Amino acid sequence: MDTVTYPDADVASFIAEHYVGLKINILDRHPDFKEASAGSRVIWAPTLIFADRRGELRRYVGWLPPQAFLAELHMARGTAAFNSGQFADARGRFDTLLAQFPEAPVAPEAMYWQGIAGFLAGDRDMDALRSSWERLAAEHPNSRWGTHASVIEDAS
Amino acid sequence: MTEIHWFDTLAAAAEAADAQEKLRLTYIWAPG
Repeated sequence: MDTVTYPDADVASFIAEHYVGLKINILDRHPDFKEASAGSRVIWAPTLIFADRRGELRRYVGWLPPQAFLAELHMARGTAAFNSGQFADARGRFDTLLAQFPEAPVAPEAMYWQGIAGFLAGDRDMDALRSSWERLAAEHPNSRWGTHASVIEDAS
Repeated sequence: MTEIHWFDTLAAAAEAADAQEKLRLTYIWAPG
């Protein structure tokens, strides 16, 4: 992360614009370690935890290259908006993620939540849900998110 | 060239995130 991903100009500028960073050495007896890891065990590094003022939004373990990591940064912002009930904003953030990083590992998950955010932003907009989930089931049939979304085929 | 500023305490990071209305990214790393 420190040699490839964080030095990337797009990653660094996106973090500077939207995030505040906290860096903790897993081998240190850091006084904030337990609280910073939200009480969950952290047994491998790198572990990345995304949080807003209310608490943890998402986390994952493992290195990612710049483009895939940028997609994760977008995903957490979309999740923050979604969890705050700002469904139109969330939809927009998932749209941006999918437009800019369609091949990112997180793209299927983003497409799943894009559909739900569109549904909720549009006062139960079934067309928005169907559009995202049908595309997801078709393009990522073997992902867990594609499996989740495949129920749309039975929806009336 | 933008460089990422990393806080080293949760209190400082949380205060900055709240003040700047940003999300917090916690990066737990291992040397080597």
